[in-house]
Amino acid sequence: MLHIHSFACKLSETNRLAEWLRIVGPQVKEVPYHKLRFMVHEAFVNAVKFSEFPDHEIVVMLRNLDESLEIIVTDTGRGFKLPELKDETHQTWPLAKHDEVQILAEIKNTNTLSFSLNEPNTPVQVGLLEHHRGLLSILRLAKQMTYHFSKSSFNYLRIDF
Amino acid sequence: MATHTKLQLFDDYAILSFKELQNLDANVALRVKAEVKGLLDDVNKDLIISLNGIEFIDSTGFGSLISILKLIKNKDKKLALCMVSNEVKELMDLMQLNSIFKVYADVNLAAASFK
Repeated sequence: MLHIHSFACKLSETNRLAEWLRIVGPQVKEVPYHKLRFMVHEAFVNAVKFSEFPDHEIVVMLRNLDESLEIIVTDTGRGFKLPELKDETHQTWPLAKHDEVQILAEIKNTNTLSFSLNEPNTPVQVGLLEHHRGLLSILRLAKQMTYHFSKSSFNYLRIDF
Repeated sequence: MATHTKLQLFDDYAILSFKELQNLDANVALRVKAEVKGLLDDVNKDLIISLNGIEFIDSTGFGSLISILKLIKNKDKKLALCMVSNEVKELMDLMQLNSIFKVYADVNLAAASFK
C-alpha cells in the first residue's frame, strides 16, 4: 500500500506531518510510531532547510515493500555537489567526519548517492557532530539511505527501514 | 515572542521545565536554546531539566540540550534530566546520548544525584 501526502515547505508543518504519520503509521509495517516519526521528521526538516523554492511543496511517501518500509521525501534543494576528483561511480568520500565517526557518501551513478555510517564499536555521540546530524540520526535507524537528484525533475531522499 | 521555558531557583539547584511544549524539535529548539541561555546567564547552580510533557525530540532538540549541558559544564556545575518519556529515552539510546546525560525518574532523585 502506498501512502502519499504533500506539505508546505515550512518547519511548522512538522506538526501536521506527525499527525499524518499517526494515522497512516499503523497501516504500514510494524514500526514504532516514534521511530517512524523520527526518520521522516529528520528527512523533512532536511528538505526544508535546504530548499531553494520554499513555495513548492514537499511530498512524503510511505510504501510497504516485501522486506522493508520505503520512505521517500522530496525536496527542492540543489542536491549534492560532487567532489571534482570523485566523479566516477562507486567512489566514496566522507560527507561529515568527527574523530572516528564518518558519514560516507558513495556515488552510485550521476544522479544517485548512497549513504552509510562508519563508526567504531563504541559509537560517538551524535551531538558532537555539527553538520549532517539529521542524516546521521536516520542512518542509525535505516537499513539503507539513498539520495536521488536531477536538474530536470525533483530530488528525493529514499530511506529503507 | 512566547516563552517556552520556566526556571525555578532553589538553594542548591535550579529546575528548568517546559511550558505547553510537546515537541522539542527544529521548529522551536533554537528559540528554546536562546531562552535558556538568557535565563542561565546569572545562575550558578546545578541544573535539573524536567522533560515532563515532552513527547518528541529531534536531532536539533538534542543538539540544544547538548549546548545547555556544555554551558553548565563551563560553569563547573552538573546537569541532570528527569521525567523523560520512554519514547524519548529510546531516541536518546539511538543517538548514543545516554552516556553524556544523567537521566532520573523524578526531580527528587535528580536533586539527590548532585550531593
